[in-house]
Parts: sequence; C-alpha cells; structure tokens
Amino acid sequence: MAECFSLVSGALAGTDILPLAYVRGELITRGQWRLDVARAATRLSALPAGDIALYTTDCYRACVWLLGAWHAGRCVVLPGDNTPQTTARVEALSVALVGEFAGAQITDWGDAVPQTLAPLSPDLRAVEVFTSGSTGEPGRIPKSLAQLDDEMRAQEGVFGTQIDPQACIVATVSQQHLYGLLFRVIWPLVSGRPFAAHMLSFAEELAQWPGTGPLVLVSSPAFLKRLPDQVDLTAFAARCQAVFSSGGPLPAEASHHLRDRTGIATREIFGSSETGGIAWRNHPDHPWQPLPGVEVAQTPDGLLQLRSAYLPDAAWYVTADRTRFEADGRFVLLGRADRIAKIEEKRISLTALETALVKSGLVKEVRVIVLEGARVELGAAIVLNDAGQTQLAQSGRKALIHVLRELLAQGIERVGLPRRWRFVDALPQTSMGKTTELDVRMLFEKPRWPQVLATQVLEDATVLTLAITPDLAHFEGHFKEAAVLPGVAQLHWAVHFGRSLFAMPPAFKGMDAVKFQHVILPGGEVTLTLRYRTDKQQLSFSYSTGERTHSSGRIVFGEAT
Amino acid sequence: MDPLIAEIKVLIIESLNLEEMTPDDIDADAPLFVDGLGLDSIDALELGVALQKKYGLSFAADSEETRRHFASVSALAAFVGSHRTK
Repeated sequence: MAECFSLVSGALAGTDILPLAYVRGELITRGQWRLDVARAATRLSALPAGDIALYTTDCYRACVWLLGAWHAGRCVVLPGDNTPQTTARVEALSVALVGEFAGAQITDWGDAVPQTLAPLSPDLRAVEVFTSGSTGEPGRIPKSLAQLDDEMRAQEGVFGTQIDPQACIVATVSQQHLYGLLFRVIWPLVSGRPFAAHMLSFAEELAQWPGTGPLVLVSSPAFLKRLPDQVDLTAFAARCQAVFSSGGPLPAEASHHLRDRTGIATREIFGSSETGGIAWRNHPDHPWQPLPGVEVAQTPDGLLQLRSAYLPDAAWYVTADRTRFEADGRFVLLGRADRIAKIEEKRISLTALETALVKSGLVKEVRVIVLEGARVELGAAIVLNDAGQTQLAQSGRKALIHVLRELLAQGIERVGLPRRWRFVDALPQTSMGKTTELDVRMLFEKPRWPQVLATQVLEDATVLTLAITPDLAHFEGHFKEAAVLPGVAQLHWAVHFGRSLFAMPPAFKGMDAVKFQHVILPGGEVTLTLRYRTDKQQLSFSYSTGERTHSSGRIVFGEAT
Repeated sequence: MDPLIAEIKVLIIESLNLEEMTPDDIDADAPLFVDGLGLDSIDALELGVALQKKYGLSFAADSEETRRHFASVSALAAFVGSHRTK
C-alpha cells in the first residue's frame, strides 16, 4: 500500500520530487504541479464570485484546474461532454467556462503570479457532476472534498495493498465523469501514484506504453470487450498490476478472454455519479460485494438502496437498479427500472432523446427503446408530422435520419444517438391505448414474411407476387458473401400463404417432388403459384420469375394424430 | 475504382451493421467520423478490430497516426494496401 495523502492538504501534499503525472512521455513532479496550481488559483480568483465549469481532455490540466479552483474557493462543475447544447446548459448555470469550451473565459494559467496555497476545508463543495437525470434534464450532483477523499482512501485500503506505490495509472475513460475523476485524479493524489495525462483510445497504445514500470489500467467495457486479438499484450501483462472496469457490466466472455491473455482478473466496480462506488467483483459470474463503508439493502419494490459516508447524508439512497440479494449479503443486478439507458457506459436519457426529437418540428410522436443485438443500441420509432412527411417525401429516408441525428448530436454524445429508425403511421397500441415496449420492439425485428405486392386468383390456382427485400430475416447470415433465400423459408412461406388462402388440415404429413432449381436472390420480385387439391389434401407450390422456375413441390397435410 | 475501396466500404457496412447504408452512399474521400459518415468512437474500435481480423494488420501505438489512417475510406485503403499480411 502506498503512502496516503489527505485531499485536505490540496496541492501542498507530497514532496517536490514525487512524480505526479506523465504528459506526452514527460514526467511532471508534484513541485511543478504545485506551481501550476498556484498560478491557476490566481487566474480563477480573478473571476467574479461563483462556480466554474471545466472541460478538458488532458487529465493533468484537469488536475491543475481542479486544485486551482479548490484553492481559490471555487466549486467545479464537470459536464461529460462539450457539445454546443451541453455548453449552453452549463453557461445557463452562471458559471465561468474554463478549458476546452467554445467561448471559454479561461483556457490557460500561463505565467500568472502564483497564489499562496493554504490547506482546504473538508466541507468544501468540491465538484458537481453534471449528468443525465432520469427526467431528461441534466442534474447537478454535488460532492464535498471529504466525500471524494474518504471514498478513494477506503478503496486504496481494499485494492491498493497489492499495487506498487509507483505504479502509473493509465486510463481509457475520461476524468469528466465521476469514475474517471475518482480513479484518474483523486486516487493518484491520495495514494501518491503517478497518472498518465493522455487518455488511451487504442489497444496498441496499451501494448506499447513507454517505459517498463508497473501500470494500472482504469477502463470500461467499451474498451475491454474490443481488444483485438492481433495486439500483443505480453509486455502489458508483465507490467500491469490491476485492471479496473466500471460504467456497466463487463460481458463474461470479455472478462475471461482478458484473463486468458494477461492473467489478470478485471476488478469491476459498480456505482453511479450519485452514489460513487457501491460494490465490486473480480469474476463476471459472481454477485457484487459491497465496498467498505457501504451498507446495501433491498426496498420492498426490489430496488437496491444504500447508505454510506460517500453520500451527502445518512438517509437511505434508493437507486433505479432492480436487484436480488444472496444470503451472504452480496447482490445480483437485474436491470434498471427507469428510462435511463446505458449505451457503452454513457448514461442516455430516453425521455430527453424523445423530447429533443419532438422539438425538431418534424416529429409528432416518438418512442425510443433499447435494442440488444451484437451491440446495445437505440431504436427510434417515429410518427412524423406534416412537415416531417413532406421532408421524407422530398429528401428521402436517409437524409431525414441524417438531419435528426445531427440535431440530437447538438446535445448528446454520438455513441448515444439512435442507430435504428422506423417511420410509422402510428405507434402500436394495446386495446387499452397503451404503447408497450414489446410492441415497439417488434417494429425493429427483421420481417419474416415478404410483402405481397399483388394477388391474382385463377380458376385452379392463386398467384402471389412477392417482394424479396434484402431486409428479410432469412438473408441474415445465410451465406455472408452472397445471400440467397433458404429453401426452408420458401417452404414456410408456401404453407403460410397456403393457410391464408385455403382451408387445409392442421398437420404437416410430408413433402413430395420438391426441387430447388435456381436460387432466389435479395431484391426484385418473384411469383408464388399455389394450388390446393382438397381430395388429396395436397398443396402444390412453385416460385418463379418470368419463365424461370426457382423451386417447386407438393406438401401433404392431414388431421393431427 | 480501387477494388480495395469497394471491399472496405462493404466491411464498414457489415461490421458496423449500418442499416441505412449501401457502398454507393459512402464517399471514399469524406471523413468517416462525425461530419461525414457520422461514425462514433465505438464504431472506430469495432472497425479497427474488423480490419485487423480481415487483413492481419496492426496499428501503431501513436494514436494521432492511427487517426490519420481512419480519416476516410481512401486513407484506410492506402494503409491496408501497404500493411496487409493477408
């Protein structure tokens, strides 16, 4: 375990030669940092009274501005991004903008005369995390200096004992969010370990991190589940002493894979901006173990609630996470009970997305839902208003989606934008007039039946013209390079349409003379000719395009036995 | 057109599961991220994995350099063409 400093000492903690951060390969000591903090404090003290808002992609600069603000007696509002809409919302709080905002009042501490530094008050309102509230409007979550200090000193007690005091903290998450702030800034400050200023974006950077000293990786599932197999992690594995993941559950497969490649069991932290860290585990199949100082319980509604010294008061805090407790006090998470989605660890308010879409002036009604496929993503089911209909007719579906996505990108990070869009005449409703999530979800399922373009009833047969669109579910994965309509789908369709046209007995009894001569490709139309002979209980089908027959055969039915 | 450019366009659409796109919709010289095709940071990671798998590539540790390779389909094709091992 490393030497522990108190945040109350602010930038006075640690000797001048103690390493603080690596900025583009260059070591910054606590001595240099102290001077920068004193200059930053002078710049911030010159501002009219009030809080400041900070956005920067450089964790060292964040560490200077934060301490500078605290020594200047200012609270720091931390938004998760600097999109125009977020910037406007932060500005509306009457705070000074510092760092990488369009129109920032202060961008650098320059060579300001250093302010004399004095110890800080533990009650100092240190930061306010500015995040998606469940109502859709961002909320301000205040944290006192003591809350931040206590939490990371407790975590050092749990995790720090096995980590070298000189290990460098490298990260793939931003310090603008609470998890990054705690693990990239506060933990290094209280434990005396250095941190990397630059945020990693690619696995290659991890594999080739300069130097040979010990490392700790602070990461998230978005990064850890996408580590390419081609990247050689041998050197990293030899140096890395711990991997932390937070922001959402790490898929078991990703966790095992990382362990196989590096020998390291990822330590997952479960928490939120409101509560800080709640629990941890180092195996993806294990229940969550409460962190020291955190008392957890279940509400009568099955929601997780907690009490801890890292919360503003001693009352139970009820989360929106549904849970189940084990006999030993550990718990399993069963998903959220509100309309906040976690997309790649970003908290996205579905209500806020819907409100923004309606404000576009093109949308009458909308439901945004979470779709879980290869990737968790959002789908928007939209009923356009007259202006929207006009725009769809004039510029087309793709252009309309582009307009809507760009509009949302004003206030929401791109990762959180809907990737699936459905424009419908009306949202599906139950007989009670309620739009259920399940019904909306069905709009995003790939169709299993082709659209019937024309029906021609002849004397002894019925001829259907079918649209073989590429979005049919059957084309998915049925020959990746060259999709063809599977034979089994052709049989299903024949039976499906046969049943809608003829009164056929319920049970399938067999097939006869079935031939697949020419493949059916996506795109275009085919005709399906169906004949039913009541005396033989036999359905004949044939798929063709013009003179060319794709397939044909007979299917025999009978009574169920 | 360079067949590699066409191939990479298909790889982008398939690996990122872009519902609305056809290869013709992707301008080979337009930015892939934000302003052009509108891909996000997760798309960048997934596309990186798909490219490494298909072409046996490795990217440099220098993230600025990697970002330049991901600037457009043309830039990617040039990088893949000179660095592929399969």
